[in-house]
Amino acid sequence: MNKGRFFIFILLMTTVLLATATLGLIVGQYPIQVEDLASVWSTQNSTAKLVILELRLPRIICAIFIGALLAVTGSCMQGIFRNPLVEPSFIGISAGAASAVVLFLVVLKPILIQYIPLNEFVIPCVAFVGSVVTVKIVINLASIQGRISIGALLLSGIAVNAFCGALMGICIYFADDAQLRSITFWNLGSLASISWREVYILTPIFIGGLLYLFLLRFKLDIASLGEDQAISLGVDMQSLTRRVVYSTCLIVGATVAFAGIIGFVGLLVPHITRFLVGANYKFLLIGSALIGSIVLLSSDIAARSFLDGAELPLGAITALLGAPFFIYQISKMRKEII
Amino acid sequence: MKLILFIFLAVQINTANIVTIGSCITQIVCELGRCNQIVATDKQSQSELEQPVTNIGYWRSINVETILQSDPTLILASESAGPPRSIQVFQSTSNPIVLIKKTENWDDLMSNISLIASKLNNSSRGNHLIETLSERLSKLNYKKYQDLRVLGVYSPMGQRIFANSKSSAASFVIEYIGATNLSEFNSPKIISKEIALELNPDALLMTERTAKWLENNKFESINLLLKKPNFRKIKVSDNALSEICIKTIDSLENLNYE
Repeated sequence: MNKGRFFIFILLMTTVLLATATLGLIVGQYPIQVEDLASVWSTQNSTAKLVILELRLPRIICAIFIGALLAVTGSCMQGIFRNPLVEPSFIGISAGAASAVVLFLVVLKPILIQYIPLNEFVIPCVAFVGSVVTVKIVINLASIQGRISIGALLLSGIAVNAFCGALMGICIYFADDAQLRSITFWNLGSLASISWREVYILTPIFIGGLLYLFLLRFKLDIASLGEDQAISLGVDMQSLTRRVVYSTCLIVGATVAFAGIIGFVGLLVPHITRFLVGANYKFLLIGSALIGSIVLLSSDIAARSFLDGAELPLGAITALLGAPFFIYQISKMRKEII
Repeated sequence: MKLILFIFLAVQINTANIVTIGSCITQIVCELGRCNQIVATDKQSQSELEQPVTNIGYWRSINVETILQSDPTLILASESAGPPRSIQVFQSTSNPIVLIKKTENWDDLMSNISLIASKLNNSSRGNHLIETLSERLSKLNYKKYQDLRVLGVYSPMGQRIFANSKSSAASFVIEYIGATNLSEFNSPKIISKEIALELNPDALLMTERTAKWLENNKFESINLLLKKPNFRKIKVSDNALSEICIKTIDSLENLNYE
């Protein structure tokens, strides 16, 4: 894709994103008129102001941030592993974060709360630590003589995902009603608890994470040619893999901490973007960020609008979109092999 | 002038838009004669009302926007209602929210009635209700249950059968009627065949909804117990065991086993 066409693509996607965000401000259980939106700072309707500024706007911003981050990390992971079926959750990042939180809620919190006051930052920190520990284990398992074997990394990811799933299953068995509700949130993802506080915390992660991965774009382009060719062109594949995996871990750990596990965005979006703008990482990363934001924002609007009076879990919506696509990819790969 | 002000206030109170979150709170509001002022309530509480009102979702994951749409003048919420962020939204705004403690015994129930009645500006009716309920409780007699070893059970969707926890309303009821409560669980437990055989209860306490699931004979662990000679099922009405509340007293008055 040339720069002129890419500029048109960016313009088009930005327009779609802004239109979706505006729709997100209007659509919901509480009826908001376009006039309310236009005069939100001066409106006399304090409830409309509350809904727009305190409930929907932070949620929309977080959906944009998280969608972009998940899609960009997915693009990088697929490039580094040269596997179109990889996304951050495949190496246990999301499951590690979620299982750490579930373990904390069911086992540690009831004990700790008797001795020390726990504030609202504890759970995001636990999620983050869980994702880091899980990825460290996966990387150690996949490292053979100091080199990360991609096959071993994916297999380790499957094993760790299964272990985390089992851990959560055991915790669910012992959980009470309130804990079960929290576990559902962590397993299926939701933006219902997002406030401005989460926006402030996610902003530096969003900017820093995207910039850092964008700086790796040239190396990712070379890495996608294959490990041997990348090494012969002077790319330290071990270092690149570590940098991508750990930065993904930091980014996805932070998103899981605030929104729970939201699967398939990191799988679905890079494929759509690659189809639209090609495999050049300069275009792919920017395109993935924009399309990821649109996909997650649209899913969130659907999650909070489909049911009358209640919300669907966001992760369920993204899985509904992503799973058929995943099956399509597998069948496409089968046809290519045959 | 005072009379006009009184009438104005009375009209204001009587046209209140009440949102209740928690079935016990809904029961109390209805007993205090304000059922018709409930404009929205949680999914579980809908069955407490004659006419369905706006559903705000499950009481632990309420939808803020749906509540705001109901234009509430008073929100009565269980302190266990959630998610916490939704409750914080109401606490940080001018929406009048009152958090009500979970009832774990009769004293809690009476103090909640008193609190809700005062928030509805109807303390006299609240005091009358407390007196009536206390009188009804004092007349209860449960000698026939004293030798029974009872386990409280429930099946939320008919898929699995659970034993109630030792801190549940079911455990409270079992102990209140003088029977031996077999639940020593901190949280609800799935009843396997081995657990059923180990606990070996003489009777099961359950709601009518759970009893209907049992009629399908799909729980093998329970089927083992039902085959025992003189085994009993103690049934109470739906929602009587979700929290210790007015319906629990209604059920205790009509308690019988088969």
